[in-house]
Amino acid sequence: MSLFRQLMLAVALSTLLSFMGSAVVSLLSSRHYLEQQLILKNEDNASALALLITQQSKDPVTIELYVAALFDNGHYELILVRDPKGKAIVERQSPPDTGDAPAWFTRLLPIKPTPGHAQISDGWKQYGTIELRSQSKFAYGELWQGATSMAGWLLLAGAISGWIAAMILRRLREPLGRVVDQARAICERRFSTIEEPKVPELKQLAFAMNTMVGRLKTMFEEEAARLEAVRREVNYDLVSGFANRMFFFSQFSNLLNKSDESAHHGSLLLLRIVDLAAINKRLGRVDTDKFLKILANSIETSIESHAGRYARDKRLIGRLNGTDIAVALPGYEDAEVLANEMLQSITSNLSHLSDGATVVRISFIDYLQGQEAGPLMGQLDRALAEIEASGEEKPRRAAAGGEQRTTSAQWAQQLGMAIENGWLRLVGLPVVGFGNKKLLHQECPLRMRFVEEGEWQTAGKFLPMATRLQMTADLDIAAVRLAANQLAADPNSPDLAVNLSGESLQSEPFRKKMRELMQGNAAHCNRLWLEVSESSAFANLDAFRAFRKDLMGFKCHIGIEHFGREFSRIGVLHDLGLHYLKVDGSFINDIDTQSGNQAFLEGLCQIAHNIGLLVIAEGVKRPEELAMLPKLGFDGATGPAIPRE
Amino acid sequence: MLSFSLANAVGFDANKLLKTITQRYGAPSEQKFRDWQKLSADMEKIDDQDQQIKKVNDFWNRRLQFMEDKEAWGESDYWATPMESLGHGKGDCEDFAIAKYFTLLSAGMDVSQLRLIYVKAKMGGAASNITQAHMVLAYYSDPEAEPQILDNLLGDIRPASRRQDLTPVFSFNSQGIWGGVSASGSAGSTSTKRLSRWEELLARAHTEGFE
Repeated sequence: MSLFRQLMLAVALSTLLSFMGSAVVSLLSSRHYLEQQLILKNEDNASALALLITQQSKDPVTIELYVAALFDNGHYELILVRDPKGKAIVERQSPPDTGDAPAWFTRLLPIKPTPGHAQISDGWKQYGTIELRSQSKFAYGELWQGATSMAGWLLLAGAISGWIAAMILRRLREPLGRVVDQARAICERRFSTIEEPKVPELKQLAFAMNTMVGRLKTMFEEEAARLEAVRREVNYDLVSGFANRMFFFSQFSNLLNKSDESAHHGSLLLLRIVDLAAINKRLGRVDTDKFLKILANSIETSIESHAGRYARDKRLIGRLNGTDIAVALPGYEDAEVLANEMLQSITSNLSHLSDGATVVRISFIDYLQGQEAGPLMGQLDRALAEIEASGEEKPRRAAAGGEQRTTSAQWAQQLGMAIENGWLRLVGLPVVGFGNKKLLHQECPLRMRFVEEGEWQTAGKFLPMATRLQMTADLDIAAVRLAANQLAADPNSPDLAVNLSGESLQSEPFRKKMRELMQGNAAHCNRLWLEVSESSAFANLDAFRAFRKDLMGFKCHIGIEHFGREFSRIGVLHDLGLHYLKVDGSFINDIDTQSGNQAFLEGLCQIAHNIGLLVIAEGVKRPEELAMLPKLGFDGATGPAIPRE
Repeated sequence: MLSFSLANAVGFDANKLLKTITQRYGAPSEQKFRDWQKLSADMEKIDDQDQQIKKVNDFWNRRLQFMEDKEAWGESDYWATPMESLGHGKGDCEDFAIAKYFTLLSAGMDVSQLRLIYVKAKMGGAASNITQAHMVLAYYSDPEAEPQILDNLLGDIRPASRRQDLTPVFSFNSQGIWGGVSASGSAGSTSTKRLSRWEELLARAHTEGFE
């Protein structure tokens, strides 16, 4: 029985008992009073009648008349006159009558007054004795009426006190409910704090739980910070803050390979610092570090102000060696403008340290997915050499990109047509589990064709443009609908995972459509996994939080993909109640040999497990990598090394 | 009649009565109580009821000094129990009649043979014009017989026909009441205030030790 039921029952019982008690006491005292009054009446009336008859002549007719006259006013049960030997002279008796009161009531509370006695004398002689008993039906009637009206009042009072008790309990229920919700959330590894209730006991409980949640949060954050440091040390250049050579190439190779996830083309820039050794010698180590930081900052600022949102979010910057810095901008097309701007910005920002000498040389190239990183770098290298040879400063294009461009208006038309005509489908890439469940779900990237019966195009081909044209929400809804339909149609279908873009989350119509979609598919949405990339989730954190809240009532799984770079902010994610993380392929690359990343990922898995998240590795390319993952604590994996069914 | 006499039989708890009287009237009253107890004991040896009433009449007429209630008790009309009268040694006509009534009842006389009677008394003889409210005890050798009158105004007991100075008005006894009074336990538990003067007296007598 729940706490509230028990409290309610206790209140009801105690109210009932106290009311019953007072009712019984009051009835008993009323009965006693009525009985006493009847005894007095019996005595008085017997005496009065005896006194009257004593004074009169004693013929039987007169006596009978007196007795009858008194008896016939109806208030008597018995009037009996006996002679001194006990023989009845006159007797008047009416059957016992309990009046309005029901029989059970008179049995329960009998009124039994003693009869009245008085002596009649005739001169000096004894004439007889009077015995007189009053009717008790009036007393019963009175008692019964009292009992019923009291029952009525007590019922009313009981109802009112019950209502008040219910109000008080309801007041208690809300804060208690919050505490219980918090406890439940903690069980689900969501560590949220609640407002402390006013009720002192609950306040203490809430305070204790809030404190515990706070400690856990701090603990996770400290652990996350420690791992973040490890990660940076392994993967980043400490002076510029850019990725190191190995990490950059690992990520860039992913860009070139992962046809479903990234833009199918983009720009690659290579910057070379001119004569760094001389600068180092001239400025000293400290100022050289400052020089490099200003340089790094100028590069970042130029990208921020020139590249589109998609390219900004997905950009890669790496310091390949002491002098070379590479910049990859997926989906970006205006490399020449950016390179010029970058050169100008760097030159002016570093003028005070460079004495007007040339600081950097920049070459750039458009790349396409499927190309190799090595040859691209080679072309850029040659272009830098050409600049140096020519003695110019102007950035140089390394080699022309191949493909013909499509304009924005054409794109918008093509995307619109594809969505309208349903030229969309999902493909299924298996995500295998290392535990009992062999197939966790299928990752379902969207495919689109631009003409009827045309070739199916990968997401990398249309997604950058859709992002720029703000059409991702429609695509995401279409993808989720396709997945939901498949789940509804086939109960044996594996779980399906659909990727949502950050731009969609910000769209209120999108979130409304998602809620409707989930409501329509509530029965099987427990087999639906929805994921948002790490960069999208953090760039649109409020929108993501609102989106998560929207889907709280549904059983679908929510996760973050391409996770890892923002690992230190895992603390921000923990109270969102997520279910899984997919760790970006750049961390998985060569994991079997990368001891630094192994330590990082092992720690990441531990923390994630602590807050109840599944951890899945992305972009697993080789069987050796796959074999390493369970040892680090991963729950599952996906990538080219996983055979498709 | 046998059933009546059983239901209305009056006995007493001698220790309780003694305790009551000595507590209230001190050590000297113990002798008075012993005398009364002896009277009761003697009476049981006498079969003749006429002898009995004479003994009782004489005992009380000698023991009690007549005095108005106002003087004796400080109240205008106070009905004293037998033990109060015995201890106090003073009383008016009711106190005489009541004391004789209880003594006779406790000696085993049936309640139907005794009645307390309000009478109108002509003071100084049948020819007198001065009348006074008075109370006497009437004894009926047989329920229908002419009663003998036990009175404090005269030393001897006379039949009613020889008491031309008294006119009976109303009579009563404890028949039908005593049982109720003694059954209701000590007088304190029921509210004596609501009982008649007679019933209140009966209740007090019951507390003193009459059963």
